[in-house]
Amino acid sequence: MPALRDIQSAFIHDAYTGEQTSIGYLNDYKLNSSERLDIYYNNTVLGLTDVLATTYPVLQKIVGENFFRTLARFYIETFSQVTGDRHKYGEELASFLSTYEPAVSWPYLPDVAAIEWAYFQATIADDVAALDFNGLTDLISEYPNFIVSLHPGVHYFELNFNALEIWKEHQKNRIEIIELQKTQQTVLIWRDQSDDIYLQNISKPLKKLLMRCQEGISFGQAMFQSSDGLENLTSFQQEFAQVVSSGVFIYADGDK
Amino acid sequence: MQYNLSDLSGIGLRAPHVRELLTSEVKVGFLEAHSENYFGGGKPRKLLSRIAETYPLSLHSVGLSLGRADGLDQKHISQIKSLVDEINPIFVSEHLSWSAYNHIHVPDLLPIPFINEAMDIFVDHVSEFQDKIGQQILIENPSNYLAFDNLDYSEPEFLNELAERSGCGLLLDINNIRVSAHNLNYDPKAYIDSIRIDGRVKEFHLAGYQINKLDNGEEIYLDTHGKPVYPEVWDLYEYALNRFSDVKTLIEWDVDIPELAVLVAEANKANIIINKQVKKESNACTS
Repeated sequence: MPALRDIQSAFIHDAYTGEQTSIGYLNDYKLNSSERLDIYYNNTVLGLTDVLATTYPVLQKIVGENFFRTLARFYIETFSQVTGDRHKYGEELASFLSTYEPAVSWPYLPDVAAIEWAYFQATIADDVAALDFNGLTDLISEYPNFIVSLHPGVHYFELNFNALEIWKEHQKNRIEIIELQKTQQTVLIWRDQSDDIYLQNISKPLKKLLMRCQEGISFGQAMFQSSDGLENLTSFQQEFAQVVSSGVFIYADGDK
Repeated sequence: MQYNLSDLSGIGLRAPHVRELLTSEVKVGFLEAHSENYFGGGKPRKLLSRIAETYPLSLHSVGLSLGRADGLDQKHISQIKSLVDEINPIFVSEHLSWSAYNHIHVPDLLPIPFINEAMDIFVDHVSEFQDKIGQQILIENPSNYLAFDNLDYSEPEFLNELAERSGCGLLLDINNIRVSAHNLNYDPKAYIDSIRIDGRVKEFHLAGYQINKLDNGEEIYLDTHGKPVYPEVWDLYEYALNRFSDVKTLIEWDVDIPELAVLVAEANKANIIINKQVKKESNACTS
């Protein structure tokens, strides 16, 4: 018998490709091993397609089930599952869609996929206690060099189309026609302390603040760099207050 | 709510049933959750905690890949341990299979070649897993569609020795025995007779399978968990109950999930067979 590593290497290759490099290890005397190996290939494709369908329901609604299944098959050929946690499979679908030739007539699909991935990851992100407004205020007054980070359920990224509007429309039972607009937007997706998920477009200064906080500089510096020279400081302060009270920030570290 | 666990069979915990389980008093012995569905936090995890406050709960994993030749995923173990610490499950179980090698995973339970090297790896991994979560685990026999050549053990022999060397318990999936026995041409009762009676069998699984035809006309049984338990599997279950005592029973249903009442009715069928067996045993003691 060959080494277990050789058997497993061949078998898992076959489970993804439908090839049959492991057939030499199998008992083919009474059993038709070739067709039976196909069962494992089919289980891999069907299983991962179901995972993608769970994470990307709006995408499937837009393109239809048949198109989605074909897309999934090509995606699975390119990207394998890299952990035993199936909820982490499918992260690259947005970038995959941007080069997937049959989807060129839906240029906003990568944006929709990015929203759905972030939404799903926000729902299952680890539970971490967030800073509320009072907690943040206390830290500001007492420890000027403290550092905050973002809650694991927080995601923000650029969209090229009005995809957030499209995604929200697809949450309704009856979908109205929406005019596609090519427009640069930053969307913020987060889970609040009641585990509800929120999605909204945010301003450039707020995006800058989130980036600076993630870079690990002190909260005071991050605030200064994001708000310095702002014409509409009140609007920024209101937006900032809203995300703080929604549990976007967590205490990270630093010189308290 | 107090349940007498030894009297009632359990059912698999599935998302469409969670609300009903939390709002009404459902008479089941225990619920079994797939560990990987509750990694991370948020609403799913909090609902699981609420379920665990109301019902006895077991944790059944499908993605740890105990049979992999390249070492266990420590993050996966710590995620299960976090659940174990929070839920305090009555059982923790995994499969006699593998699903990952060299950073590539599949959402399936792949067959183990029953060779000495696989035994050593399995014993090491089961021992490591048990040590890290701080409790005994149960190992379940999977469904098989093909067999390897040049083996050192049969599947029951492998399970017996694994249990002996690692100290794990066993979860006998009666449906999987029926499916594998058909697919690989062996006698399912002989399989059950080959598992040692030493108190290591702690849980039975029951489920429905699907019959497919291969291109050559051969019928193959697929372990789909999408139908009621077949009569042949009930018969085999009764046969297993004759051999092993003090074993909990669980009904699994994973696709085309019906109303909760259908699963509870299947569990009640198992309860009737258990009661029949208990009466038979007590009659044998008094006669």
